[in-house]
Amino acid sequence: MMYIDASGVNDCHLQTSASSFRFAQPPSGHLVFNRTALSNLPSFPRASEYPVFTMSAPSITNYIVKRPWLKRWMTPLANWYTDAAGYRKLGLKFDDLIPEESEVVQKAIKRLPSKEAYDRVFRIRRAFQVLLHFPHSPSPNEQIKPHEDVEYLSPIIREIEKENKERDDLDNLVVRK
Amino acid sequence: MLSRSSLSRNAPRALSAGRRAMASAANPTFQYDVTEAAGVKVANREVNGATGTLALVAKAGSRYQPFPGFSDALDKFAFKTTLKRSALRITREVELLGGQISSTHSRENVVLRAKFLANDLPYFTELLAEVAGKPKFTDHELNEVVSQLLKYQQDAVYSSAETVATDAAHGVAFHRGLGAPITPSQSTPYEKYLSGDALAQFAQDAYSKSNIALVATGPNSADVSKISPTGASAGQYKLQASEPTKYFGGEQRLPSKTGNAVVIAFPGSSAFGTAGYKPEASVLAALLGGESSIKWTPGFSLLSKATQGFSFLNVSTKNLAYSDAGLFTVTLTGAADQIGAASKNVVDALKKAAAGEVASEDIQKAIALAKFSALESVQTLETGLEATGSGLVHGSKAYQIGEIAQALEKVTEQQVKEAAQTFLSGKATLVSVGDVHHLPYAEDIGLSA
Repeated sequence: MMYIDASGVNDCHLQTSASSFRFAQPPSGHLVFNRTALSNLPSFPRASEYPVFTMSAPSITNYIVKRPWLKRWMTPLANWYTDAAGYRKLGLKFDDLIPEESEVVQKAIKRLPSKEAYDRVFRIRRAFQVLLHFPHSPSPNEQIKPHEDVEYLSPIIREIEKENKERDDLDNLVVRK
Repeated sequence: MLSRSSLSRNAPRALSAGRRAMASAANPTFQYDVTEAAGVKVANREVNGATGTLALVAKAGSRYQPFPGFSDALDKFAFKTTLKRSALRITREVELLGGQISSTHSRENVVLRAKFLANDLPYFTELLAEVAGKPKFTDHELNEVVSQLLKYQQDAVYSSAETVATDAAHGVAFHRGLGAPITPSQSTPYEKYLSGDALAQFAQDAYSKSNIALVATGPNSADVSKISPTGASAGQYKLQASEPTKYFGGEQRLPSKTGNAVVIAFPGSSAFGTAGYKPEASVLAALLGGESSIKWTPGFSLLSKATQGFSFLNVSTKNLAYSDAGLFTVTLTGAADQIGAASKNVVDALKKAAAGEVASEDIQKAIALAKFSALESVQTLETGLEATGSGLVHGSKAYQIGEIAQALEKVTEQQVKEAAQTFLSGKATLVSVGDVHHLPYAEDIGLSA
């Protein structure tokens, strides 16, 4: 999937969405570049009950990020694309769109600081209300500005996925003496 | 089976064996070598054997915590995720090496312990260094693991009337500092103080160079390499300055449904090697006693004789020694009405000891028992490691058992009598927990509290 923010920090969005999209459909309003590539893959082998962190889902992000000239080209395009996706206009951040229906994300949501968790629910409910009154969009100061659209949940998800992977690895440990 | 003559032949031998054992108590192999490595005090004892132990004693017990619950949380955060390894990895690695790791805390210390096969000393030294030097204190571990453990700890502690009474006796006797509860009660609002950041600040101070001691025993214990602790923390959550402990005394009654306990307490002796060390207090504790060390006999102690008629009653006497104070406690647990009646007998027995109406043979027995328990507690690893480290970190010396034995041997009848007299003349501490309808007031049993 394609999502690069000018501020380099958000490069990580790619990894998160790649891993979470493995197990759930991406949000409908949000088209992704390589979704076809994802859906064309026959099936994903599941290592364990836990959704194990995989960077293996095909993504061109790393390829782009490693090449500064290409990143310079792609960044305006990516910015345009994320803005066009429209979730910011609904007052949502990208991390609000991560599907909740997985143990990992549920755990990550529990680990959010209470203020972050409150704000998240607030944004989602507000977006819901906005959609009910469709033609009216929220006032500009309620819309999320690009600099506000930072990862707040993804780092926690990655941490939990790392924990799960470590547990998986340690459970299948071979001791050589 | 055993003929009388064989017994009598062996008796002198048993006596001389006892003397030999005493001589070996002063033997250098039981002594700790105290050195300083990179600013950290290290005590090690070379013992031949296949296993070794290592303990890190930090002066960060409930006495020094800035807010309630901090020492508990620090203790329970030991061996959790560090900056280098996750808690799970530490667990699995230790399992693979066949070691044991544990952590506890007391009023004065937080103790991290490791027991292992002697060859693994370098690994466990590094592990303790990592736990103390590079802890992570993640908020989610606090919420998901540590605070749950703390709740279980509270449930365990506060379901025993005896523990509650002993804790309350410390509170009444010393107010703050040593009087702070070891574990905050369920109704204490301690959660608002605890957070990963606050604990990280506290740990930086608690595990700083000058605040810890390493105690190692084992075949190659001298190899304990330098541990790299940090400097002291400057934040809000640093160790409480150590105020000299003052004894207050008084009375407290706590209604409870968990059982009945009465603690009668007096200012006792502080730990060995400190200014307030009075060996006669531990002799008096052995003399008053209450619990027999031999099966099927009430024993020689004054309290076991004084409470012989009560079948639903337990009595025990202890001198709880700390670095600058001690609490001499007589604990009664059992049926409320029997405790009520027996506590009068306890005070009468103490009065007898103060008047000197005790057979000198009993005093000799008490000295022998006090000596045994003091030496045994030091030799037992669980208690010995903390006692040794605590001695180092509180600025006095390591527990040297030969010297303790000598100090106890020198106790005279007169000293024991005087110790009992000072108890009765001063202000006592009386805590009653349980069915307070039956439990006594200080005045009822002839104490001034």
